[in-house]
Amino acid sequence: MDKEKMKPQRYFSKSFQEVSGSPKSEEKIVTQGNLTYDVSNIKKKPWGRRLEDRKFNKVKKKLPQKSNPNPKFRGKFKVPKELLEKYSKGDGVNLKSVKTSIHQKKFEKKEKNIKFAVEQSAKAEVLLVEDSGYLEADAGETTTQFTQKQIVNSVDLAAASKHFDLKLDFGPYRAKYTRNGRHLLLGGKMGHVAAFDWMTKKLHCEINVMESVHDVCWLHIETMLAVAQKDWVYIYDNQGIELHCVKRLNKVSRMEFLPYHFLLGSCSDEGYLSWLDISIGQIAGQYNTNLGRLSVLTQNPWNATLCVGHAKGVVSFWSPNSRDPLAKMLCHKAPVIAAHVDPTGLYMATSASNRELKIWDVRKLEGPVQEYKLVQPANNVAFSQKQMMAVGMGNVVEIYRDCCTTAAKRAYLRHRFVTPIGNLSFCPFEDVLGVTTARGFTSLLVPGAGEPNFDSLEANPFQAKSQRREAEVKSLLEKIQPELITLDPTTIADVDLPTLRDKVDAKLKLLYLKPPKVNYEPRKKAKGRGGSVKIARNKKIVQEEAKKEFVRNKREITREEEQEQEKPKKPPHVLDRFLPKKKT
Amino acid sequence: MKEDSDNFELSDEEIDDRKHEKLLTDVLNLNKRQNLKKPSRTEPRAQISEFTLAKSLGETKDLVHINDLTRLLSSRKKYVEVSRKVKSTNSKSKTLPKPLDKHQVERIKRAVNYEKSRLQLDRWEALVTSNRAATNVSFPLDSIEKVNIEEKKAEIYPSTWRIKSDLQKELEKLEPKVEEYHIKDDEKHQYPLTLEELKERRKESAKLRAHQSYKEAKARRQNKIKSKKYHRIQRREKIKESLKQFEQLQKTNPEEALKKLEDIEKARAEERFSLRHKGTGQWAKNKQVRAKYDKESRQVLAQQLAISRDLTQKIKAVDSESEEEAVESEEKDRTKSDGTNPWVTGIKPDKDVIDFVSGYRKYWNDKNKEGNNENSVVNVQEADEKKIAKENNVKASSKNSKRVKIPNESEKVCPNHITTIEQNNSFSTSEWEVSFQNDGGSDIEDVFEKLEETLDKKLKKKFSAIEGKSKGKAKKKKKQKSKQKTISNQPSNQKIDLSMPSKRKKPMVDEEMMEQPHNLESENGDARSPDLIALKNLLETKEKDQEVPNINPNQFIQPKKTNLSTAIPDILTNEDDEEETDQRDIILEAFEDDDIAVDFEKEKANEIEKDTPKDIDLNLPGWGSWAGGNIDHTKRKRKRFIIKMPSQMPRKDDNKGSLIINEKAQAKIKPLLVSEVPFPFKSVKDYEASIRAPIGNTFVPETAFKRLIEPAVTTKMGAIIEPISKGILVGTKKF
Repeated sequence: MDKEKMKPQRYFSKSFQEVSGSPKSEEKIVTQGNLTYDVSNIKKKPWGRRLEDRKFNKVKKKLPQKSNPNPKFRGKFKVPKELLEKYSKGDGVNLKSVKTSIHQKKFEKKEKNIKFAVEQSAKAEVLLVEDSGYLEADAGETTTQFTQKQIVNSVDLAAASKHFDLKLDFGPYRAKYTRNGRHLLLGGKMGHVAAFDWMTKKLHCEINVMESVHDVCWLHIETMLAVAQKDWVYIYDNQGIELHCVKRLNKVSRMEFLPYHFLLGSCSDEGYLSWLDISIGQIAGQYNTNLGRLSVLTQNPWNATLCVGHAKGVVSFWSPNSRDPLAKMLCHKAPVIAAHVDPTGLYMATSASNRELKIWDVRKLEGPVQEYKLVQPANNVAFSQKQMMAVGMGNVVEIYRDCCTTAAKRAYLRHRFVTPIGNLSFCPFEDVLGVTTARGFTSLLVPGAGEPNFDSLEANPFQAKSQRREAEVKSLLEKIQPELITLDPTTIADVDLPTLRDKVDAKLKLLYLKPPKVNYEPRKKAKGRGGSVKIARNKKIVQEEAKKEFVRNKREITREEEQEQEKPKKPPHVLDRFLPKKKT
Repeated sequence: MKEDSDNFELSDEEIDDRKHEKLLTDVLNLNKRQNLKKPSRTEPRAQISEFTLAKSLGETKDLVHINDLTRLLSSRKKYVEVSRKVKSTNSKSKTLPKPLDKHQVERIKRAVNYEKSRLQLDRWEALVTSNRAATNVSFPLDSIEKVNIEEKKAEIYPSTWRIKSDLQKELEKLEPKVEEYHIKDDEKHQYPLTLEELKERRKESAKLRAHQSYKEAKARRQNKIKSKKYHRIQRREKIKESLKQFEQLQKTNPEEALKKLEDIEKARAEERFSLRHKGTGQWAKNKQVRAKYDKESRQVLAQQLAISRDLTQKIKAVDSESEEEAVESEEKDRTKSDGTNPWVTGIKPDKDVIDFVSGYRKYWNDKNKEGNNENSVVNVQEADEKKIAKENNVKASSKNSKRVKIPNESEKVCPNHITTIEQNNSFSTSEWEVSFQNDGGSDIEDVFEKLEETLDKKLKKKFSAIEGKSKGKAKKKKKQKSKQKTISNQPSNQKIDLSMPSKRKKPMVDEEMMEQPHNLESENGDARSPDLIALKNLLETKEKDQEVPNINPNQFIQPKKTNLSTAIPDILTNEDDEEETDQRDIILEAFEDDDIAVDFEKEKANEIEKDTPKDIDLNLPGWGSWAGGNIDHTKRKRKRFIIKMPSQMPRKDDNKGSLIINEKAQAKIKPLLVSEVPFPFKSVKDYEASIRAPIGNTFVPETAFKRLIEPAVTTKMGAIIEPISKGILVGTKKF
């Protein structure tokens, strides 16, 4: 007995029934007279890929999370969750619902890569070293009371040189900065057009177009500029040489350039909105708004729609793809006189002649987020990259901080001019607000207005000539087609599921459609085989067949519809009587 | 006749035979069973017919059985043994089973073969799946050399024998050992080279030799080149390289670096006081050209020469140590003088200077363009020179410290440089010449000079830095360098938002807006940046989203109207009388609700009505009933011909009072969208999730971008891609 017990157990062990009398093993052991085989322990060994998998899984299980042996080396930098959240692209693909295992693996890898990209971009925030500041007042002081003179005196020379004043004589001016904030374009009502690098004060060109100038606009690079003159829009280069005269843009009052689409959007005195594709020189869309004279125009940089303010208090959003506006929003109960969308496309500020100033959530087209009542109606509104808002009223400019999320109480800065203000615009990547007046241009210092970190591949203030050339080519290659301008720019990543309306339309079409004509070409047969009568008959048969088929389809559709309507209802529940009654 | 009869007889016999045979077969056929002839023993043959065997088995009646034979044998004692043997064999042996049918045999064979080849093929399964699932496969497949990474166990092992003292352990904690690994390539040592490898190696060495000889030839050729420009460029590169080396040396061995620095300094000094570049600058050349006709330029040149002479004398007086001191004292002076603003004397010149510089640059540009038009330019030049003179009187720097900068020819220094230096000693040194240079030079020579200068500066900086380290003065210098850029102090933990709105944020109908903006104010102090707030908002709203999916947007708390006490402008753009405007405003405010809002509501209602599909009436008068005046169709009949449209989908702007969204506007983008869910996906949601993340390098960092666009297949150029070999399964090379 003892010896038997000492024996190592094997899968195939000879054991006599008389010897092994333990009650546990009785069930498992099959007795057949002379030999018994213990079958219960036998397992089929996995082999091939499955064996490998098992081995791998074992190893996988065995690897525990090692505690850091060297606390001095902290290991990889862990990105904070909030940052990751900021860059995250949303939930990934549900791998279980991908069809084959190989594709599952592929998408698993892809998801990993996306995660890596997110992490990497979160980590890259370390490189954004510059911080933006703002004015801080001592106790008993307000920032509003600081004058430009005081600011200029207390900043360093480089910053102080950004405050300057141009006294010009050709009527109310309009100004625009380039996207990188380096160059400035001035247009005086009385024909004065000047372009210069405002930081070095290097003049590119200065011309008098000998016509009234209504608006000016930089095109994709600083060597081309568009000027809306008395009748038509002209395009000049940075030496003041006339490149084009676009006669199809007639009596233009305001212009906006959409840099990613290469579209020059404009609105005219006659109520026309038009988009000129400057890369191919063709009009991408030109529609009559039927809303009278248009003079309030701004673009939403998030989705490249044009926002037009109307006298009926409505702001409408337009794309070159449709004759009707994409959306209309009743913002005020008085004529809209100024509108601007902030550079991130989050907020829109509108001001009306009833002294209201409202801030809207322009992504959801909701709001107002904030409502202000001013002492005087604001003729101009402009957002900076850091969401400061400049408001121009008459000859006063006021700048507000944090006015979108919270209700601002006091102006951050204030400046008073001698003459009424033409337009306002914050200079990108600089703490500067450019204000044009009837008698010139002033650049004001607004600490904390501009984005301190720039993406040199996107907009580079220190762009060299070669970089500019390269950027031009690249941006042309990456040009977005005007068809993609929609309210929601992410629609291109959606699947077009035919909506109910489309289905209905298709059905309607089918109902009113004639049965298709069948072009029946009879095979040429040998002489005497098929007579003309026979051919005609065959033709008729084929056509009849097609017609019948069509009618059958049609009938099916209508039947389906009926069936849909007559769905088998559930047996009524006792408590259903308490449900709200359906309206018919 | 007889013949005939004979013939007949013969034929009769023949016929009889046939008939007989036929008769026999017929008789046999009467019995339905197939009767074959019994096999009879004939001549012995190697091959025995299988047919006879098979059939013979059936009949046992007349066969001689072995038992009968043995019965006879058993009677005799002699054969008892034999008979027993026969009996035993007879009892033991069994007849072989009948061989299987051919198709069955083949089926079994196929099954076995299938199993075998399945086993063979299954070995590949892991590899094939991994290759198919891999994002990138590089061909040829087995070109990747396998390297063994091993821990240096042999070196570590003996150390485990000793017991460490507490002190040692503490020390180890302070300075944790970096685990060392070494890469082993076994194959080289394990296997002798094959013929192919030998050939390859020989080829490589031949190539190397050829390359070497080519380099030699090139070096010889280059030495013969006489072009100054070429050598200049060469030298510049050399300098760069040496600088790089120096930097490395500085990190590894600062003492050595100091020595090297001295050497470099010396070499530089020698180069400088040789004054080889005296007359090579653009300015000097111009002067020389003009000197023939112009008295002033002659004078200027002479003065320049005088300067150079003076300077050379001075530099001989200075030795290296005092120079170092000079650097320090110079810097100290600078900090003293410009405590208020570090920019004033450093690099930024006054406005006048800027003007002057721009004028100067213009002049040079003109110069380069025109070239020939010299006379006209001379005047300007003169004017400029006068200007410079004035400038220098005001601005020029003194040499408090003994260190002297040697002006190059390219530096556009005015003739009365020395005098100014002597005149005003009060100013601290500043490198104003440098800024001039930066504006002017377009010549290669100038560029070179500039480069040298900058190198010089760099070296000095580094030198000082090293010294600072050794003496522990580093902190001081850092303070000197510090720049005061921004006006006010600010929290440094602000992060900046350069990113696009990265998430797919759609203007959804049911999405909730930021509620109660007032709450935020209380939560976040003023110090937070708007970005952080926005970020937090985003997070918060998301959380809320999960909690409460639907909120009636009409129930939003409308923001309070805040009255802003703006400044009252003196001038208004619409120049009306104040009273008039006031009145108009009052009227407007009184009636504002009535007009515009109602109009807008009407417009919206119209729009909605336009978009809803209407029921189709297919009634034809007279179809199935009489038509004409005074005849009404029954309602039931009419209803049969009206096709009802299904109820309307909810509009995007349903709950938003003052908003009209045009739902037809998407017609143009529709054909550009994907209209079906492509292959490996089962749901729209998953497909959309798979294309949610942008991959362009304008959206993601370069490293991630490279990973995302990695090609599925990469091939090594020039390499032959052979079919996959079994060796890859075992991990050996194919030869």
